[in-house]
Amino acid sequence: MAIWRFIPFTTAVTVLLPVVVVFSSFWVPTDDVWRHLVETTLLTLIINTAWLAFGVVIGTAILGVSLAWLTSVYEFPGRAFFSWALLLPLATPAYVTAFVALGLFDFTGPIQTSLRVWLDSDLSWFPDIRNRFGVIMILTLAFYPYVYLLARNAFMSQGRRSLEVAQSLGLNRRQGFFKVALPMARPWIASGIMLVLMETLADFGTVAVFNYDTFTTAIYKAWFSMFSLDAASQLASLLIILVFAVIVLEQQSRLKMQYAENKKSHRANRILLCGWKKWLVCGLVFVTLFAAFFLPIMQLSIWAIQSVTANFDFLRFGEFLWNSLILSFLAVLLVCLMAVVMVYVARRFSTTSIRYAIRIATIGYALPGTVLAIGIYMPMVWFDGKLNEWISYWIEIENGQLLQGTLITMLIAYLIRFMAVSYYPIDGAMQRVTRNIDEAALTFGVHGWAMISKVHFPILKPGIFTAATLVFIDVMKEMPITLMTRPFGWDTLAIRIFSLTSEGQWEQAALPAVTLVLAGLVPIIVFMRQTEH
Amino acid sequence: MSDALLQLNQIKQSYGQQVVLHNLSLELKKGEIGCLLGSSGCGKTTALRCIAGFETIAAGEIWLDAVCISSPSIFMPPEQRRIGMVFQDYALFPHLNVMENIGFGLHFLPQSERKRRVEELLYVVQLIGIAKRYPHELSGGQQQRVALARALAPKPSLLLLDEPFSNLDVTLREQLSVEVRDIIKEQGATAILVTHDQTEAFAIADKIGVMNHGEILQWDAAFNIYHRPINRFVANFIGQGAFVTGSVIDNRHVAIELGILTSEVPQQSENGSLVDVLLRPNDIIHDDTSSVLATVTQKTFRGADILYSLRLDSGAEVLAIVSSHHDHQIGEKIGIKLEVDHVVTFKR
Repeated sequence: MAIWRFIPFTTAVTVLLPVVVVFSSFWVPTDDVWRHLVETTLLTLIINTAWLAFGVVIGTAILGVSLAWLTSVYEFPGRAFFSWALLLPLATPAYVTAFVALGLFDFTGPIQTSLRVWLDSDLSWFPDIRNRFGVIMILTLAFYPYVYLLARNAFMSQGRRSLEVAQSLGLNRRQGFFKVALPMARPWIASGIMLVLMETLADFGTVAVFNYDTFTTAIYKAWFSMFSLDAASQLASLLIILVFAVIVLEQQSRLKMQYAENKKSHRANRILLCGWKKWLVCGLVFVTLFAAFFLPIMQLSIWAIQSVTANFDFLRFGEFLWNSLILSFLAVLLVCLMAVVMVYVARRFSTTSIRYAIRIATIGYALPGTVLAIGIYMPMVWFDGKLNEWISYWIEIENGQLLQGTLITMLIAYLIRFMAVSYYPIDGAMQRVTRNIDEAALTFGVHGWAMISKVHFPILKPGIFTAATLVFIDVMKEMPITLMTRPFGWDTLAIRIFSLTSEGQWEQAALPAVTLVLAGLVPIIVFMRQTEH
Repeated sequence: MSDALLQLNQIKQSYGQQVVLHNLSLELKKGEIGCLLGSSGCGKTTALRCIAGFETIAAGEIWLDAVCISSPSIFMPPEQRRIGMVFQDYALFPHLNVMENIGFGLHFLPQSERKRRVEELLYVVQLIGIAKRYPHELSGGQQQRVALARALAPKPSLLLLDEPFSNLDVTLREQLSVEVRDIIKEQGATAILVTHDQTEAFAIADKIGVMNHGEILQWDAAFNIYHRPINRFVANFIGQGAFVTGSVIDNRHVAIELGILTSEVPQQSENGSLVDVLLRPNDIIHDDTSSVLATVTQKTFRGADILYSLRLDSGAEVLAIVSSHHDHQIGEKIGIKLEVDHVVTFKR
């Protein structure tokens, strides 16, 4: 079936399409809006983005690496719990943590209100967190788990052992950490930092709610406030250059990881901390986790309860929830189906060109949602125009919008963005279906569809399940693509949070946020159960 | 005090309820190579890790160079013990090349001396041509030699080797074990090796400790371990052999069905009492002229010789190594005679 072979190429072209479209806007003559942007805000955007990227990278690196080191090498009260619980902030979308923080530290928020009462002061000295450092703090707390997870993998497989080697060569633990464990874990840490960098550059919701202008919010404003698609896409092309630099660095650190992989994992004897040290470590880890996860969740729950007990429009909430669910469901069907087909093609025809096509097809996770939205919307407009010309030749129609502003546009954008999320788990499961397994089945006379349903599917099932779960949750939490390409008035939970928080209605946004966090806990629990086995 | 470099006195170690080391004692002189030999889970690696300082001990003492380095109340950190270690998976630093790996432990030396020592070791382990390569570019044998050189570089007072050959294929193993022994001896190092492979232990070690359930059953030279095993476990674990019934005539003679063995009977047994007598495959000689016949029940062709399992008239089975020129079929009766230099008996 040679036609299957073209699927990876088609997907790769689909992924490249928005990139090419966005870049081609470079040659479009600049309009007034663009000139206005360059003169007024471009420098601010660059400075803001640079500060944000720098701050979040430093913050997540320090936080992620030290938490990973503490939980994989030392033994202290609650270590087993913290070791997985530190991943929990992944369940909370950064924009949720952001608006909770704003609500908490608001003039009318619980912290200032109670402080005013206790101290009997007007709190004029109280710092405003709605600034650069506030955003950096929030994104650090939201994204450190990426660095933590990868660094922990490295330290678990080699941390304690590399310390032993260092000690047997006369280095103490401190020297061992800096001279051995840290350099050895560098590819993993770098890879985690690159993920953080991608997420930071792509972040829209957090910077939007903080009113901190970066490229993503500028793209949105250029399009939706100044109505200049060209200016938006020229901004997007600048952002994409940054992202590509990160992708190249990321691929390099992955390459280094292959060499560093340790073959065996050994029984790790953790170093027992005693006395005040163990409580200090336990306390530090707890404070981090509390700030990053439990505090926002507690505040959200309080708001959610308050908003529900007041006159709450359950019907509308149900509508948003339904929209979120149906959208995620459709995306899962499309993305997972394509991923399965691609995994099969990759297995059946393992040529260099197909491998490259798949590499490209799975690179979309790095494209910021705002860039993707523009890059997919512009071809749709063009396509609608052509289609209109053609149809109006035969019949008369009023509305020229056939693809733009439909679910189809959104789904294609999701396909590009979340292909990698579904491809890798399924591909991982497929690695277990070796050629020998196929041949063993053939010797029993099982082939064709019977082989797929009796042999392949049961082995692939966990991988497909993981992929489906991840895509489902990611689409639910997704904000910029949904915001910019959805059909008019078609709101999801994430969109609802965006519009409510941009008006400072924290309480009203709490229930949708809690729903997203609960959904986000599912893949973490799935992941935990997988790593336990 | 004895003149031992390393001394373990009655050390104990346990994980929770599970006792891992039980009253383990041994002594090693300077320049000697010792070996802890036992099947997996016998505690040999744990013993090594206790010496290295990666584990604490619950009772007993470990002395190195007349200093107590470990006891329930004393614990010298591993980095201060001057003990080098070759890890089972070598644990080479993937981010450093061969030279940097070897020089890693020499951080206390000035640059020039460090370079000299690294070059000296590169020469000793014959890796001069590949000094700039990274670990993933090396073969298993080369990685192993880098690990050895790295551990030897700071001139440790004691070198520990944890199953150093288990990741290599069998042919390489024999060749390397002799090489490693020569290198260790040449560097004047004292070493302890842990292995489950007795040929490896025989090839390398001056002293071998046979371990079972966290105990050293016998700490002795290879010759004695094989020919004068202290108990039935050691006799079974080391080499091949079979037990036949014998009766003690007096303290110099034991009668078995193949004849009377003359040697000192090591264990105190009453005259006339029944004992088990260990017969090694090389205690039984094939002799076509012999009137004593045994039936071939199994044979394993091993190249230079054939290992025969033979059934005696009483039904007892013994083993015999016979030059492979003598090819006998299963079921055939062949003539045998005894040539036992070391009589090993155990009370029943």
